Amino acid sequence: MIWLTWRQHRFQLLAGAAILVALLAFLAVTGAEMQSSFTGSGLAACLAATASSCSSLAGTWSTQYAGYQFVIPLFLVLPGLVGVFWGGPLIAREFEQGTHRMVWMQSVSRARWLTVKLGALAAAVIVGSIVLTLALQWWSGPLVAAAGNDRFMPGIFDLLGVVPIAYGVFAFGLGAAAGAIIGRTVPAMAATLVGFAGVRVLVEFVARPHYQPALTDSYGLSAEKTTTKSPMPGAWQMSAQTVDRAGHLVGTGQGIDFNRVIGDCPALGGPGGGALPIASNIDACIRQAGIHVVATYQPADRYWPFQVIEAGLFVLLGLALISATFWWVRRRSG
Amino acid sequence: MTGIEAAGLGKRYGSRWALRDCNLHIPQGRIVALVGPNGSGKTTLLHLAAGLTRPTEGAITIEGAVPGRERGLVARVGLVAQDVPLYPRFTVGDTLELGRRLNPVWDDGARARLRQLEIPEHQRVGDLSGGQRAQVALALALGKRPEVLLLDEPLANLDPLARRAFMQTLLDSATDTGATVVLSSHLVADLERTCDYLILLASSRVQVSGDIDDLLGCHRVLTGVRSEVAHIEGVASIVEEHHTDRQTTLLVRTDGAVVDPAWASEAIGLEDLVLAYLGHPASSALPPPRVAVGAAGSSS
Repeated sequence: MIWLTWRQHRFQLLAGAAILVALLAFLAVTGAEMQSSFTGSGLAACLAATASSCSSLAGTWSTQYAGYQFVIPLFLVLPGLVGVFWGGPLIAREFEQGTHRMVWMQSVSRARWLTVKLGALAAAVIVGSIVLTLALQWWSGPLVAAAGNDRFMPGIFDLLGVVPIAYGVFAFGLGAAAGAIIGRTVPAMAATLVGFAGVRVLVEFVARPHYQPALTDSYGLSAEKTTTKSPMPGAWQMSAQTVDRAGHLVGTGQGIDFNRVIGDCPALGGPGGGALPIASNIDACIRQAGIHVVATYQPADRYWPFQVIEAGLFVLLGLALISATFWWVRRRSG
Repeated sequence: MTGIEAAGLGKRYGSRWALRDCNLHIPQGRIVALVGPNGSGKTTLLHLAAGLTRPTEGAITIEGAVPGRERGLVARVGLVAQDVPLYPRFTVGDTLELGRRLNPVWDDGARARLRQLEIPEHQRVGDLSGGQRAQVALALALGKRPEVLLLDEPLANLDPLARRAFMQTLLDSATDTGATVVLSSHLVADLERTCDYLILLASSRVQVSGDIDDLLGCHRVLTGVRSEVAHIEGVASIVEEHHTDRQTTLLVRTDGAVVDPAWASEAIGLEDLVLAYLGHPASSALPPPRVAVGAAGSSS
């Protein structure tokens, strides 16, 4: 059976390995350059010394690597592609061409046939995603550090830690199940694509914010700081509102809508008669009206619990789909 | 208990019965023509015998064992499924290697036979002609040295020369091994010269089953002056009657000699016999019911 699985899927496995090697080579070359400039520019040392503010240095350094933004969507869709191109056709093609009848008439039980087939390819998926995630972890280290340790942010969270491996298992299981149930290759691939994207979006936006109840905190802001990101490094800030002392909303997100603070700071607004909104005037207004930011967030120390919860969820979904595949294949007529 | 036995066998897909009330006894070593129009249940019967499908009711056994349940039976039953499914990217050699590795018994004579037919081992199956593909599929099924070989429309899409070569290979090896062979087709002409047993399926039911020589022996075409047909001595039932202005022609199943001088009696060919039955679904020619077999192994 192992011989058969290799003979049947060697092209897929070799193509997958070639893509993996290409991605690793890209990460190795660009990552090495990035690491050396991270150290060379003094940013690494600055970030290591906790007291200093490195925002301008970090900003300058990050700008030159803004081109690598494309890596994020590429690696986000990669597990989906595994599901579509490896999982989807795995059983669907057999059913479509009728070759399952030929194989099932050899002296191998359906369960064993499926176990070896799924097992060998799932093992390849898991090994591949572990290697790639480790490489990405190393590669993205400087970028994450320069961005104020933003690994908890949606999009970055999905690329690092243990969740990418779980996404791979889920996508592969989804593809296999869709193929077994639908029995035709192209529709199974399409269903896998839609299903993977749907579940990922649903979990990311509906489930993940509620793995643990979010915390609420408030912090002050100043004219300069309106442009900085989160004052809580490593945390996942989910929402923020800027309010005055009485709790009236003066800006969504972290920032002041000048039209809404006219009541609090008549000096700032009004056509024809107010001071210009220069930094000192704004700071005076903030002090006078008690303007502050109220944020809901998941604190930085929940990063790993969240990683484990999400990975567990996707692994369970993947196992459920693989069980469904077994059930379907065993009860299939002809 | 030898050969293939079916008792009250039925298979339902959704609300449609693909096969119903099927009672059969195919003695070991026969070459069976399984004939019927498209959709009459031939594939379902073959899949039930191969163990790819479980019956909805009744039971089928091969040499006393229940297909799909008895471990090890699959090693003794070969199937060439409809449209000759093979992996198109495998070479001929890979395909035989698959059979060798996945079966406990493997006869490498298949390799030699394909070499005799000048089918190169390194060629991809997807690049072979229809006849060569069928030969490779047959070689794969024969490699197990099966006691029962089931073939689902193997001759469809083959040219006459390829058909003859295919049947030749099949018969040679069936003679060698004494295997029971069941060949399905919707064309009788394909099977007439090679088969010695007939099963005719129509509308999911067995309409005719029996030894071909016996069936041909007990059916006669009677011709006489046009008349209302009354009882004729020696006739068990009338399968088909046909009238012209002056003449009446009957196809009858006999239970003795027809000696009535009013009727001229002639033998009938297999193809005409099958066509007559297919045209008259209410007629049937079945052996007397046997004691129910496989009841102990019947699945619910």
